[in-house]
Amino acid sequence: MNASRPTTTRNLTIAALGVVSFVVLAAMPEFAGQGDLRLMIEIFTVFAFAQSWNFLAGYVGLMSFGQQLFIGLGAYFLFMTSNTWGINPFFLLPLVFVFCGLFAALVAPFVFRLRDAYFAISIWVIAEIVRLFIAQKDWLGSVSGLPLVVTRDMDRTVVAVSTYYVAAFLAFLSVFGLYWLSRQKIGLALAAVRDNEGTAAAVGINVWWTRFFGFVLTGGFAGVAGAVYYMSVFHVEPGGAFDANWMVVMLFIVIIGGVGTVEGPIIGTAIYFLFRAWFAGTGNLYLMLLGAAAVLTMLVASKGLWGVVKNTTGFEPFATRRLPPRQS
Amino acid sequence: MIWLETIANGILLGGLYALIGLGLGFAFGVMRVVNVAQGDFIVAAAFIGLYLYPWTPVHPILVILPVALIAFGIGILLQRLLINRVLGHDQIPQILLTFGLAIVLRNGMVAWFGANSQSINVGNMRFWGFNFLGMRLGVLPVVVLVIAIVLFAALRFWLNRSRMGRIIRATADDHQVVQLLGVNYRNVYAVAMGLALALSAVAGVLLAMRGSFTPYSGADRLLIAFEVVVIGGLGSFWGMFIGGIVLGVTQLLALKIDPSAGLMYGHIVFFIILILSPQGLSSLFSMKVFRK
Repeated sequence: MNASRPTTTRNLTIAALGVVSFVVLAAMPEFAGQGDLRLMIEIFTVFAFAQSWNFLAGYVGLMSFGQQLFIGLGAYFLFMTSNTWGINPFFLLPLVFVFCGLFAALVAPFVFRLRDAYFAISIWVIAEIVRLFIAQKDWLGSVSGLPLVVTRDMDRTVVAVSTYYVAAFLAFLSVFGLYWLSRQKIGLALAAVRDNEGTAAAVGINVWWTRFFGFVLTGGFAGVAGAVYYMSVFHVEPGGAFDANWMVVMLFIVIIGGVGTVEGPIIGTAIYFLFRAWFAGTGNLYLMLLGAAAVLTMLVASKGLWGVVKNTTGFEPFATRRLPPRQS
Repeated sequence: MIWLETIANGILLGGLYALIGLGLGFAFGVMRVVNVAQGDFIVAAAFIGLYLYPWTPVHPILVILPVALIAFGIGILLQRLLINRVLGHDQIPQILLTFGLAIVLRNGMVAWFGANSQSINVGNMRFWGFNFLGMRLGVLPVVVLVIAIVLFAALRFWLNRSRMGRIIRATADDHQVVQLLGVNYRNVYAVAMGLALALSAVAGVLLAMRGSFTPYSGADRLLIAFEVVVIGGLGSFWGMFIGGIVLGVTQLLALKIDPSAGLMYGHIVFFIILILSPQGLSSLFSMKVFRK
């Protein structure tokens, strides 16, 4: 196999990157203060939101405007089960994945009948239904929301550090897990379905089930990320958890960085948090800037910043394509 | 009787909802472009109407004419300057572009006009009413419904009979082939987007006369428009009209039963229809304009 050499070096690079980031992430709480830790939890969970949307749009080829549905669902499921049975919320996270995945699996047969923007908005409609439903029910905390009771009696530092580890793990997964997945058989099938349904079907890929898998996976993942985000703020309310502005943030991060790449949203998240630090006081101007930046990116470089970097330097550590043997 | 009156009012509101969906459905039918910023353009039109109506002669309701003209111009500019640049086989760039535009518009309006609830004052007309078959109906909602029906019929007639209408239908069928006949489909798209926004602008102004609006109303308006189009079966004219009426009636009935529900039951009915009949209600009425 001629092509194996560059692939092997790349695998080594990825493995090295993985080990380094794992060690850095794991060692972080030793050096960071409480406030830094909280900010990092936020950065990592928001990054995980963005990657879940990036996976859906850029890898599965399904664009959704309702990813906040899973963020809110995950948070509410965690808060309700933890408060009702007094269970440590950290143990519930796998259940959150199952619950949100199941919810996605239940709605998928119906929303899959719609395509493109109509699919995107139908999920938004579902998010609105759930939000309005929760806002009306007193046992779900109605408009004012729910507190997280169980973690109140625990040691604050332990809770903060544990939440940090979970968030860091999610961020790690959304880089290396995504890369790993995109190189598996199912990941290649997803790419084929995204690029051309007809051809994918012709080579024996079950288009519907492949999409279904992607949709359920991203729903579960976004749910866990949402649960972790709201665990770190100890309070959830329907207006915030199902806020369409989550969508604005995810879109901004992914579009600016580059849809359908592993690296893009990392840049996007960095830019988003810098933006927020600079313009947070300006309120609406800040949101306007996010929107304008997205419009501009679509007009100038629709592959995002990472696309520009990739084209000019050829640097692409998380490439899923096999490189041809280098000509000397 | 109170229920009948609610249903009648729902039909009146539904005509307006249908008009909200018409712009979105028309743009989709012609260009396969879904303008996600439609809801926020509707609200922007309402603001333009709010500033123009004190200068409107004869009657404030005539403010829909200048607003529609302005929206037509904005639609042409929007299509020429922005959307035409990202047209292609892939729909994602268009959708993301208009989504970004929606964010800019919404927050720009909040920054300029404030987040307060506003309404266009049509004077005494708001309080006029008449008795019909024992029901008490408002004059303004009836006028609004009539305007909606006239616009639906006019658009349909214009598409079927005029030269430009034929060109638009041909472009909708195949924008590659019309180029062989000397049509620049990008110009046609610009006209179509202008029309779509003009229709939405009329709906926005009428909605602002019947009720109130804030810069944040755009999202709800977009969802209504989208539901109307999907219930109607993508691209079907009278299907859209019926979709609007279904939503209008549902919403008013739901508000009667459960005043705090907001749009929830409308969303649920939309979802039930989607489950029962994926092609929308138009599979029952096969009066499609754009597709064979």
